[in-house]
Order: sequence, then structure tokens, then C-alpha cells
Amino acid sequence: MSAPLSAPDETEDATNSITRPGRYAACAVHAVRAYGTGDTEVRALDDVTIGFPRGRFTAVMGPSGSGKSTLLHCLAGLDTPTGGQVFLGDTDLGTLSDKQLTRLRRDRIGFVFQAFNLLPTLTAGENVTLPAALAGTRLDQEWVDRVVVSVGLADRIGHRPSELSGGQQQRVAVARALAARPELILADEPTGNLDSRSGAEVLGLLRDAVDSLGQTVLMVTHDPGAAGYADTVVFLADGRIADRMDAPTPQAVLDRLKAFERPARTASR
Amino acid sequence: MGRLTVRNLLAHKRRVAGLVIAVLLGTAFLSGALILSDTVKSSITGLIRDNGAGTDVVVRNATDVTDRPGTDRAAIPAGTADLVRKVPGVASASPVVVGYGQLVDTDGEMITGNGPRIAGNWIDDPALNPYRLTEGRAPQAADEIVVDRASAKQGGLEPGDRITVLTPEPVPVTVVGIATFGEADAFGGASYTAFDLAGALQHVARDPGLISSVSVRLAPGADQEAAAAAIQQVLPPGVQAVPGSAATQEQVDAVSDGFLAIFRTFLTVFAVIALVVAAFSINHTFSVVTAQRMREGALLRALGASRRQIRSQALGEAALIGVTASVLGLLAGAGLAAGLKAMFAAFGFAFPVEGLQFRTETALIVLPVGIVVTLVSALIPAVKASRVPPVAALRDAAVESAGVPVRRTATGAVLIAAGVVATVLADGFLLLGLGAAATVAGVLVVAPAVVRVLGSALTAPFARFGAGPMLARGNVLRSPRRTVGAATAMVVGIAVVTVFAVFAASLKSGAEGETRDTLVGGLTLGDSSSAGWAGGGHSPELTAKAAEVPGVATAVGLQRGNLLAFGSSRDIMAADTARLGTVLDLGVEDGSVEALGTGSIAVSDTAADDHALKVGSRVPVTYPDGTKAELTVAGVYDRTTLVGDYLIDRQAWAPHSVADLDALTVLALAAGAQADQVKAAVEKVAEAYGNPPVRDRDGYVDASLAMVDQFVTIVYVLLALALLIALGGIANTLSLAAHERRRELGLLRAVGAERGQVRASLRWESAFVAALGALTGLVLGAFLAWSAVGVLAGSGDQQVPVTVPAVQLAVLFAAGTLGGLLAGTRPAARAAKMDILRAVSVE
Ligand SMILES: Nc1ncnc2c1ncn2[C@@H]1O[C@H](COP(=O)(O)OP(=O)(O)OP(=O)(O)O)[C@@H](O)[C@H]1O
Ligand SMILES: [Mg+2]
Repeated sequence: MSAPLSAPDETEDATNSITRPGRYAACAVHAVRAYGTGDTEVRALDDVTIGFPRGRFTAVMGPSGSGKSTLLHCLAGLDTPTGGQVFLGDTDLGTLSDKQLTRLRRDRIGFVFQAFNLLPTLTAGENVTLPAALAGTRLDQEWVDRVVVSVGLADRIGHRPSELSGGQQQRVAVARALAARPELILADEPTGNLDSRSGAEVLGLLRDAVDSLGQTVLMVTHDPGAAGYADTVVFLADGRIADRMDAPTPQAVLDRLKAFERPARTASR
Repeated sequence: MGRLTVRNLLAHKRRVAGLVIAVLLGTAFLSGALILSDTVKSSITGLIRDNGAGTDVVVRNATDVTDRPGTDRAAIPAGTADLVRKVPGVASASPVVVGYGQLVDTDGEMITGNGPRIAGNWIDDPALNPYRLTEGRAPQAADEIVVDRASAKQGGLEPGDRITVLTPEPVPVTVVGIATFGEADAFGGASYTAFDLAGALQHVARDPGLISSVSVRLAPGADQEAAAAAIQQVLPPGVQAVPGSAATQEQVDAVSDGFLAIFRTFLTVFAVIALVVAAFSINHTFSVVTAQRMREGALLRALGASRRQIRSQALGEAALIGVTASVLGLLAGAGLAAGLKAMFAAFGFAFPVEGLQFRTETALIVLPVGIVVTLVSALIPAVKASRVPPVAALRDAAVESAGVPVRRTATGAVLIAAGVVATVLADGFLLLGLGAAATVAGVLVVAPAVVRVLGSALTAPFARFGAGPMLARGNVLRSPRRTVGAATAMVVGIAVVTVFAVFAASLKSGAEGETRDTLVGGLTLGDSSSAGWAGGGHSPELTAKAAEVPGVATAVGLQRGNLLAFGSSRDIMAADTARLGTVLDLGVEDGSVEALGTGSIAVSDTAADDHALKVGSRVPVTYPDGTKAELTVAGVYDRTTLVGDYLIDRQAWAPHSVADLDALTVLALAAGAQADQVKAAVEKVAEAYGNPPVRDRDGYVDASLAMVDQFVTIVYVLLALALLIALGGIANTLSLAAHERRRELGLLRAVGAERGQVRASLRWESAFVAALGALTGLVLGAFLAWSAVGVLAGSGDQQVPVTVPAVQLAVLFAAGTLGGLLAGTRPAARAAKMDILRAVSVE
């Protein structure tokens, strides 16, 4: 594999390649997200430089509080780094106004949260097309139908979220992320609240989106099984990139996690 | 538990602020109404007391035919003062002449105002004269006058000016002095023109041998009652001596029971309307807050708090809010009273008021009312909340379900059916009231079901206007009960306004039609005012001159007056009935109203019904001068807008009347006369009389309706306050809802909703709720007004066609909806500013 993903120790090299537009679907360059100042400063992201290649499924793992969600929020334009840069394609998010960031989220990013993804007042179908409705545009109906069928919700399209199971709700959220054909799909523990069967369905959908549609997916997870669906796993610890693994299997990830917990800690000291 | 209550209140400042504002607005109006009426009362009665302060005994005509303040008794012989002076203990006795005196400024225009135009004699004894000269000197010749400072300012008068006073004959005079009433520029809204005694007897008194009364000052230390009794001994029959304090008290009582009582009731009615609307608003706010607390406080119950505790906590909170908000409302009432005062002044009803009168009684009314309304409004949601099982409270569905129980809808339908039947069949106001209450309650009960069934279709067309309305639609429909709760105050507010609007329009068009039918003469001269003193009147001399203008066939003057009949004071109209038929068509139903002479009277059919009169009935009356007579009913007529209920001939009236003043003159044109030319010619004649307006029929109808319109406008302003409270409630619950839905709003922003779109969705929601409330209120109000007008028309024989003022109602609907849009602005702006990350992070 010809370094599709920058390793944390190749900083110089990575920076050069990352700043070349278009090579990555999204990337962070020396990104820092600090809370508070002075003694009480907490760095949720501590000089993170990483690129996410197009058409690949990347999983982000790490202990609780390691900065996974923060990284996702920064890439999505929901949060702003206090230092460094974040790019979507060749767009530097730091240069965008609140309104432009909003449009970027709407038009170029699909987001799947751990829970509470849907507006309870809208039907499943309306939730799927919500970003387009907000944009005042119409989606390609044939495509939407295909997405809805592929997530297995064709017969549930008129139901409201309260009438759907948790797994079904997450599939609606995935469908929403896919429907607009965004440049990047971000998912923060999308299977965190699901039983293993429902979780497998959702992960299968994301995998399929990458394989058959060429989508780029970035997913945070605590579950080595879920990470096994990804092409690459990136490990975060204390706000830094601690490690990475290509072609992960659940067992390898689990071993790595176990092995990595201690050395990573000591290494960062 | 008490500590928890306080802690709970502090922890939810926004909720508390919302509740406090709802209660505050309601109580502030009540407080303001009471403060203003107390203030007006204290200052008007204060003026009256000042007026009579130095007078120990009043000698006057014993006959009183009216309890209306500002209307005078008949005269007494001028020699009475000399008789009184001889009584031991009398230090000074001044003859007093009081009559009509309209000032005309140097440009020939009348100096008009909101009070009687009084003329009289300048009294030299300062103890008996409440006026003080501030400029110039007292009158010393029959054509010299002193005027009150308010009129002087208004007309730009200065000592030395040559002007005219209409008494009502035009009298050329010289202003020699300017006076204040005590410290004030004038005696309330009244104007005052003082001649010297000779001038007053010559110009103001109807007969130089007659005066109005005698004001007596006693030697220091003398007893008023004893002196009055002593004076009474020397008086001729029909003349009485009254202690000054008693005479003053009579006047105070007359205004207190009359105008002031009406004014207080009038304001209180609107305060109560506002309070009812506020109660609905408070109730809904409490429901929303309770629902929120149910979910948030599920832990409390899980830990074992009993239902009783939950309920008493909610009520404790309500009590605290009720007390705080009522106290604030009481204080805010002072500001509102000042505002109301300014509003009345803007409409030409300036009260002679300085400062504000705050009585303990006001607090004793406002505080309990505010607290009780708050507690009752809070009780229902609190009881409901305590019935919800703890586990169910964790789920939204248990607290506010989208579903509407069938039983509820059925109950509502039955209520509506009963209400409508009662309202339609009602022939009295009691049944009408009960029917109306049932209808309103029924509508509010079935409304959620209606929203559930029809809401989707009704709001669907708006979804095309973008994401804002589309999202708002979903939120309006998510809990029909809550939506209806939010709109209820609006429904009630708009319904009240609609009832009033339809009622006013119907009465107005009824009056307009009747006035047109009555007025067969081509022109009118003088004011259309029915308020008595606002326009005053003009000299019968002018009527006579107008009759001689080429092109005028007849000119008939109408004089207002009072006499005693059937045990109380009656407003009468006196006219030259021999010729009245050429200018007015009274719609005679029986007998004849022509040539009534000195022994006959004509009455309206309403009066005939009330007193069981028919042609030939005998009516004993007492004229203002004390003369008793028995009149025979010669005719019964239908149309009362111009002449009222009792009509007599001038021949019968003139010998006994207090003033000789034509309130209105109606002219009939000669065949072939050009109305424009005649009008111009009559105006020319009227110039010397202060230019009373000359109008054709349309002009007269418009002018008489202008007064109604002004009154209607005042009522609209007062009702607008109730609508403001309703809108405040909508804003309030919207901001609570936005807080409740912050997760959803955050999600919306996360998936790409712009701030503007979030704002728009909330504003649309608020507009939907307001429009829903307004529409329901309009329909409800129109129906109730239709029934009420029917009952009114059925009770009298007045023709009252139901008139729906489409334009006003459209404006009302638009204003309600726009108001909703505006009410949503602040909560929407706040919601759009929220932090997306905080909102979407899983709690
Ligand atoms: N608003 C904030 N103020 C202060 N510190 C914050 C704030 N938000 C996040 N943090 C801190 O930033 C760090 C990273 O948080 P983040 O939510 O990215 O972790 P995470 O890896 O997603 O954890 P988890 O697996 O539990 O979701 C944590 O130490 C957290 O306490
Ligand atoms: Mg996280």
C-alpha cells in the first residue's frame, strides 16, 4: 500500500502531500483543539496531522476522551480547531463563515450520530431528504429510491421515527447520509446503541457504500468487530495519532488495542 | 420540600420569567384600571369640593329633575339674595347666575373642549368664588368678562381682546381678566366665562329677574345646618336652603354614582377580559412547564416522592410566582394607568388629573385576584401531572400524546351542540351567556381533534414556502393538544374582539339606517353630538335666521332637556312639532306626533312598552321649575336616534326650561333649491354664531357615527392589551418549546439548516399557532355576535341588521397572525444562536 494514509511519525512528508489539493477527501494539518487556558488547558486534539483518502472506509479508535469525536466534529465543520487547519477536499474550513460551514455540512458531508439522528416530526422519507429540503433542491428520486431500498426501508418510508426500532432509525440516518452523495460520510459510534445484528446491518451498509458507490467513510467506534469492516484503523490517544492498521480484522484490532493501551501511554509520557 | 420549590424556581429562570410575565400582564391591567379610576375620581371629586369649599349654605330651586352632573336646576327670583342677607349670622350672600356661554375666539371659531361651556357672574367675595384672578381685573361693566386660563391659552386670549360669547345669543365682549380655578387652569374640562352681575343677568340668565342660586358665607363659627334652617324660613315656596357641605356631597355622589361608576366598570370589564385571557395563557404555560418537569424530574418520583408532594411542590411554585407577579403587576399598574390616561387624552378625553391615586383597596383586590388566578391555572396541570405514573413520565408519550381521546372529543361535540342550540334559541341574555360559554368550552375541547384531522391539510399549502414552514408544520401537528393550548388565549381574545366588532358594526349600521330614514330634511345646523355638553348648542335666534335664508322651506330647532316622569329623570326633546314632520320622519306607529301643543307628548314604542302607554294615556310630569302637569300621549313612534324616547312641543317646554338652546336645527329645502347654494348661505348666517357646522344628510350621518367610531377605537385599544397578553403567551411557550427541543434544533443545524432556517421554522410555528387561534376566534366570535344581536333585536323593536365588518375582521386576523410572527422573533433568535455541539452531544 503506497502510504495512502499518513503515519504520525512521517509528519514532514505528510504535511507536504496533504496540502496538495484533491488527494484526500479530508485532512487535518497540525490540528489542535484546546479547551481552557494555562494550567487548566485540555487538548482534545494535540497537533493532529492526518489525511483520509477518497473511496476508503477508515475507523477511528481510542480510549474514551482521546479526542475521536472532537476530530470528527472538526472535520464536519461543527467545531473549529484552535490551531492548525482542516480541509474538506481542497477547502480550508478555517476560512469559511458560519453560513458557508452550514452549507458545506448540508451539501458535502453526511453525518451519522450515535443516537438521536432523526427529527421526530418528520417521516423516515422526509428525514432522508431533509438536507435537500433545507437546500431547497430536489434529489434524484431514482437514486433516493435506490438508497432507501438498499437500506431495507422501502416499506417504512412513511413511518415516523417513534414507530421505528433503533436499528431502523440508524439505517434511516445512513440513508440520509448517502442520499445526497456527499464527499465524506462521518459516523460517530453509529452502532453504539444497537444490538449486534442491527449493528452489523448498519456497518454492512457503510461498507457497501464504499465498495459499490465509491463513498468515503470515517467512523468512530469502540467495537473491534465494527473496526473489522474498515479498510484502515487509526488509533487516537490523548489527542494524538497513536497508531494505524491497514486491513484490520477484529482479532488483530483487539490484540492491538490490548497491546497498545500500555505502550501508547508510556510513549506519550 | 419548600427548599426544593425555591431551588426549582431558581434553576429554571426562563420558565419562571415566562410565568411571571403572564401573571404580571393580567394583574397590571386590573391594577391600572383601578388606579386610574381612583385617580380620576379623587381629582374630579376634589375639584367639586374645591368649588364648594367656601360656601356655607346654598339657596336654590327645590326641584331637581336630573341626576346628571353639569345640568342645572331651574332659576329662582333675583330678590332672594336680599332676603337671605337679612338673616342673622349671614356674613355675605352672593347671587349666582350660571348658564351657557360658548367663547368664540378672535378668528370667529368656537373654543371647544371636553366639558360644559359655562358662563356666569364674577363673585367678589373670594370665599364664595373658587376662581382667582391671575391677570387683569374683575369685570366692571356688562360687556366685560373674565375667562379661565385654559380657554385663554386655547384661544390665545389676552386682556383687551374683543371677542364674542354665545349665551347662546352672540354677545360682543372685552376680555378684562384671566382666572384660574384654585391652582388649576380650569375646572376640569369646563370653560368659564364670568360677566359682572348685571351682564350675567342680562346675557346669561333667561330672565333678568331670575338667578340660579345664592351662595352664602356665614359668620365664623356658625353652624351650617342651623343657618340653613333659619334661611329657609325667609324663602318663598319652591326655593330651598341647603348646607354647603351637603350640596357638595350631592354633587360628589352624582358624579361618583354616574360617570365615575360607569368609567370604573368600563375599565374593569376590559381588565377582566385581559385577566381571563391571561389565565388561559398562564394555564398553558404551567402545563408546558409541568410536562417538562415530569420528564426531567422523573428521578424525583423514582426516589419515592409522593403524588401529594409533587402536587404541593407545583402549587408552592405557583403560589410563589402568583405572589411575586401580582406584586409586580400591582406596581406595573401605575405605569399602565399613566398610559391609559395618555390614551384617553389622545382621544380627546383629557382628565383633570395630576399624579396617580394609589389606594390600599387596589392592592386588596389585585393581589388576591392575581394569586387565585395563578393557583387555579396551575392546579389543573399539577393534578394531571401527579396522576401520571413515574415510569410513564419518562416517556414523552405519557405526558403529551399526539392522540386525542375519543371521549374528550365526544364531550366537546355534545357541549358545542348544546351551546349552539341554547345560543340560537336564546331570547334572553342569561340563556345566551350560558350557551356562549358552552360553545366556547366545547370548541376548545374538540379543537385538538380538529387540528389532528384537518391541521395537516390546512397547513400543507405552506410547506411549499420552504424548509421553515415545513418544519413548523411538523411541530404544530406533533401534539395537537399542546398546539391548541398555546392558541387558546388567542382564541378567546380574538373571539371577544370579534364579538365587539360585529356588535359595533351592526349597531352602527342600524343607527346609520335609522338616522337616514329619520332625516328627511336636507340640511342640519349644529352639532350631531348626543353627549349633551360636547357640542352644547346654538341660539334659537340662529334657527330663526336660517329659516329665512332663500331656499330654506322650514327650519326646526331641537332642544334637549330633562323632566321627571314615572319616578325618575327622563331625557326629552322639545321641538316645534307643528312643523317637525317636514324635516323628520319618526316612523309613527300610532296616533300623531304633530302639533302636540302644551298638553300632549309623543313617546317611542320602547317607552310605550316599558310604561304600558298607548295613545290617550295620561303621563304626569314635573318640569325643571317645579311645575307639575299631566300630558296626554298623542302618538307612538319608532325611530329614536334623533329625538330619543320622549318628544314634547316647544310651547309646553319653553315656560319651564332652564336654558333656551337649540342642540340641532334641521332644515327642509324649498322645491327647486340648490343644496350647495343654500348650505353656503346658511354657513354665512352661522358665522356670527361661532360657525356651528352645516351638514347635508351624509355629512350629518358621518359626523354622528364619528363619535361611535371614536368609542370603538378606544375599545379596540383596550382589547388589544388582551391580545398582547395572548401573544406574549405564545412567545413564552415557544421559547419553552425551543428549549425543550434544543437537541432537535442542534441536529437540524448539524445536517445543514442555516440559522435563518431555524429562526424561520420557529417564527412560522408561532404564526401557525396564532393564525389557528385567530381563525377559530373569528368564527366563534362571529357566531356569538350574530346570536347576541339577534337577542338584542328581539328584546327591543329596534331594527338591527347583523353586519359583519369584513375589512376589520380581515385586519384582525392579519394582525393576530403577524403578531404571532413577531412574538416568535425573540425565542427564534435565541434558539438559532444555540451551540450545535452541546445540543448534539449525547447527554
Ligand atoms: N466543551 C468542553 N470543555 C472542556 N473539555 C472538553 C469539552 N469537550 C470535550 N472536552 C474534552 O476533550 C477531550 C476529548 O473529548 P472527545 O469527546 O473528543 O472524546 P472521545 O474520544 O469522543 O471520547 P468517547 O469515546 O468517550 O466519546 C476529553 O478529555 C473531554 O473531556
Ligand atoms: Mg465521542
